[in-house]
Amino acid sequence: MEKIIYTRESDGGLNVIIPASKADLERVLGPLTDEQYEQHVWQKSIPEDAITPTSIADSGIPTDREFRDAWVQNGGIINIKMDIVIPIHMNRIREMRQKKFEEMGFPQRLNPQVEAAILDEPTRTELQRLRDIPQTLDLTVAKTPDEIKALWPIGVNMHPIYVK
Amino acid sequence: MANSAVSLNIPDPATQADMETATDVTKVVTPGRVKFHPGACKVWGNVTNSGGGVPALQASYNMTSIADTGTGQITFTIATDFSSVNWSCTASGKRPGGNSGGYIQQQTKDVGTILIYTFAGGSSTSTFEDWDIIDMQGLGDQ
Repeated sequence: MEKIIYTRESDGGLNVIIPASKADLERVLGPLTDEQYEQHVWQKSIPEDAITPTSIADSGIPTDREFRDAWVQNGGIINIKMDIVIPIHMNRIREMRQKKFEEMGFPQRLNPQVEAAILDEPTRTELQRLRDIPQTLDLTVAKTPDEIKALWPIGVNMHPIYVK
Repeated sequence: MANSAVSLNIPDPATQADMETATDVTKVVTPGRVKFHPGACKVWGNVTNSGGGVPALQASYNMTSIADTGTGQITFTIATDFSSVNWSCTASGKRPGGNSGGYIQQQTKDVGTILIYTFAGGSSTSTFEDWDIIDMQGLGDQ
């Protein structure tokens, strides 16, 4: 049996239903025809408020999950929505930038006067460069997930989800 | 060999009610009624995630399907529902890369579904994370 996709009414997110095997279900429900098996899966797995539930072939499902929360339904296939990919990627940059701040010994933002008094100029410049990344790194130029993954700031370790 | 009368005292099979009461020590249990005992597992599932596509339900009992609801979020749908939401769920798993830490929690539980969350860290600010393995078991009255 194919998988099923539908859009959630509550938040617009996408659910992908992966049915249990017919043999596993028959141990509880007794012998089932193929039609009864599919009817059971659809009745139990698809809520009443599901939007456009549709069977989907494996070929219509993205092959990686780096941007799973940006998956949207487009008929019987799944697309990756760049409007959602951009904030996901920026949050990952922020997460790794915070680790960089911690490595440098400055997990918290310092009072500017204190910072000027205790840090040398190169360190202050580097801290400011890191702080400005969300403003200086334009992710909107990327048109695909692969393009946006290439937009990663210098001096910040790559997020583990991109390291295969 | 001489003919002789043999008296067989075969106990009655336990009914669903006998199994649910779980006190009779004279009746025999048949395979199809083991599931009615309060101490028997009513539903279980083993889910793996290879990092590509969607998770796989490798093996299960009394499970209709799983739903990939998002990163680190899987909804289990039960074939024969529990009689109330007061059933007991246990879930465990394995983080990607053999990493330690992280945590797993039950989110929304109903008589026929449960949503399980998996996180990369151990605090409320942790991010959702797909785990390599998630196991779920449920006990209770159906």
